[in-house]
Amino acid sequence: MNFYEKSFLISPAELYVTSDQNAVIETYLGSCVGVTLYDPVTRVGGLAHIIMPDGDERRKEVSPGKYATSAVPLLIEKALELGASKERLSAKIVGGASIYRDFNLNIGYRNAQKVREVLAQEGIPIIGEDVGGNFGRVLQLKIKDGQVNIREIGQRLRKTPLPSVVSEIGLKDILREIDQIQPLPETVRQTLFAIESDPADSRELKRIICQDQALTANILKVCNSAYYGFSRRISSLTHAISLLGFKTIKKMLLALSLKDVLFQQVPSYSLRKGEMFRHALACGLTAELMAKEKGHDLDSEKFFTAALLHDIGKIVLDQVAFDKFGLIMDMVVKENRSFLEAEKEILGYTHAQVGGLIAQEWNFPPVLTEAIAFHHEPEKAQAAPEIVAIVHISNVICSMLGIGCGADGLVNPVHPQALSLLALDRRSVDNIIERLPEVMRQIEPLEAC
Amino acid sequence: MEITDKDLEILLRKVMEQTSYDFSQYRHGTIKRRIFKRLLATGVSDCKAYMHLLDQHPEEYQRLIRELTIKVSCFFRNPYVFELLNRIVLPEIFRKKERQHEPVIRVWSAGCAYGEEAYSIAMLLVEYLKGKKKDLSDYSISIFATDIDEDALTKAKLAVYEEDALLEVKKRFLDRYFVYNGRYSVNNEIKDLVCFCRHDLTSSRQIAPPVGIVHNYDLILCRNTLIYFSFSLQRRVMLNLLRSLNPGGFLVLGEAESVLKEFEPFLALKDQRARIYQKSDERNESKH
Repeated sequence: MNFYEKSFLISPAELYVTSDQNAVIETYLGSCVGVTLYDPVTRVGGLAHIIMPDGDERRKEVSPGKYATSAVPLLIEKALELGASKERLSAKIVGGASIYRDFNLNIGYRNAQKVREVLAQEGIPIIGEDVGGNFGRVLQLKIKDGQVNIREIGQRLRKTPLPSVVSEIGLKDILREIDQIQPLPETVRQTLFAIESDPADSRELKRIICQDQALTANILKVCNSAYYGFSRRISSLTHAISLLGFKTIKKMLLALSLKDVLFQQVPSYSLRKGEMFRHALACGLTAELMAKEKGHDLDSEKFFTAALLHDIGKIVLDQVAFDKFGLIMDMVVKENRSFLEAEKEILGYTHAQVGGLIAQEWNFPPVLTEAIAFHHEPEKAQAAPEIVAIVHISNVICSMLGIGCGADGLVNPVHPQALSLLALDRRSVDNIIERLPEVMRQIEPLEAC
Repeated sequence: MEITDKDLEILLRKVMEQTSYDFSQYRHGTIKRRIFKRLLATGVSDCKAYMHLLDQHPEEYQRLIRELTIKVSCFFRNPYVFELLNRIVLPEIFRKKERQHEPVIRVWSAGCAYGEEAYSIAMLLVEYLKGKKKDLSDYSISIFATDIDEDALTKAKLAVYEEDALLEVKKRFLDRYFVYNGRYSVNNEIKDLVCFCRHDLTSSRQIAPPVGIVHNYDLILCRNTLIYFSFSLQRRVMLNLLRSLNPGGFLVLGEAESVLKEFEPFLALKDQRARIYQKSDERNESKH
């Protein structure tokens, strides 16, 4: 029988220190920096997932885990509390990747620099570094022996033996096949139509929810989760809507009905089970936040929905073209191409195109179809360039935070036009990233269902 | 309070009309006992009142069916089937995949109950690849497990089991793929390979589970589910299964089940005792 290993997944802006010998602390890193500390004598270790170099004092006080300047000292402090000695502590720093051909945001580099600086000030030696590049990483610290494991996301694809025979799969064949399965639940389609025809009609939404008992139960479960913190149990949908608002329930409804499809592993893009779902939700919430920032309070749900669905094409390609992804990754690495270019070259189409076609086939609202089809090429948008630009940037930001970054997340460029359309500069992107960890807490109860 | 044969007949006919589940071929004693449980649970006075309740609250049909299709399941249930899968079916699937340069293996456990069968298959596949010194990550292995019962799926996703369910598990598998913490949990390597989702096998709109996106399966296990369906429903399910199989793909049925006569030309019997069938491989035949 296996010995019992306890795995702790650290989200962006979190840190965790422990002396539990069975613990394995794990985190997914994009441009964020993971710092591990370890004392080999008392076997105390900890890990911080740092998302920004520095912030203002008040913010550092509220959430010290976000910034290099506050997270590193706190990590040391907690390790000392658990019996580590400062003389014996040593650090490893991992992550800080950058986005393909990005010369502006550069958060990865800034993060890593700041972490080195703070560690030097504290007098903690850095005994290992794995920083930079255009790929995400999974970082693991084993408390038992202080061993640090780093897995490059997408590494498996790079190693896959390349097939000698490549068969072609036409877009039409894909569409014909999925037509017989209809992977998106009817509830999603009905919800999209209901929102499109009358966004304020709560009766229709209630009808959609109530026709599926399990869905109703799950929505109530999320409403009763600790995140929303109601002291009394919410036991009816009407009650839930009046307390949490109609918009929140709509978001839950969409997320939960897509969960089965989005929760599976997507090996073609190096996404482990659950990562795709988390990425979709994180993008949805980021897009919603950005939309509100831009004054779209009333229809922010459109942004949420578009971002939630943007990658459906990936799931389809994973099931029909898995054997081609070794070639795609090979082209990315050897010829220094973007993942999207390589997809187009090898497959003849991209995951965004496939997603767009599916959306069209199922008569999604045109804005949504456009956002899915052009989420990597926002300059092509015509119906709603702002929605497409926001979905594009949300996707980039979530990959940077290591949330479902996958093999491709950092090897697709940020489109400068999207940044300028939204009037975003480095500082405003920083500002969005800074506020995300709080927003992301909504994801957990949805995952737990 | 007693359920007479007449009551039973009327009730079962009603269930069949409303849900297409046919329990008439079942042992009456067992069926009566299980219906009786629902009578007690709903607090009705007799069978007639229960039928009235069904009319007024159609959701009770779901609960009744859940009670009647009670799930007795365990890992590697009927070990002979798994032995054959390991010795004959998996080697043939992998040989074919290598020939076609297609490192994708797709399995569907239809009517998966608490997930034991799906996880067993996952373990068998992982162990098979290890035995052949192959890297699991060179293959895309998708195992889709579906059931109509949401509560069963919730339990399946949790993957925590009592010892009773593990009696047929070999020591080697127990050591490698389970974590013991008072109860037995399936480890993450295996859990990640299996994707659970609700799916109605009798659906005429979706021929295979939605999470699977497409319907090219190499192996489908549908054991002890068909027996509950009426003849016409069995036909539809069988057609869905057949269409979901790749040419040369395998279908495994339950001990007491067999392929309907009209499907025999398309599904060749591979092993009578294990009820393993193979779909004809037209592409192959035309080549030779």
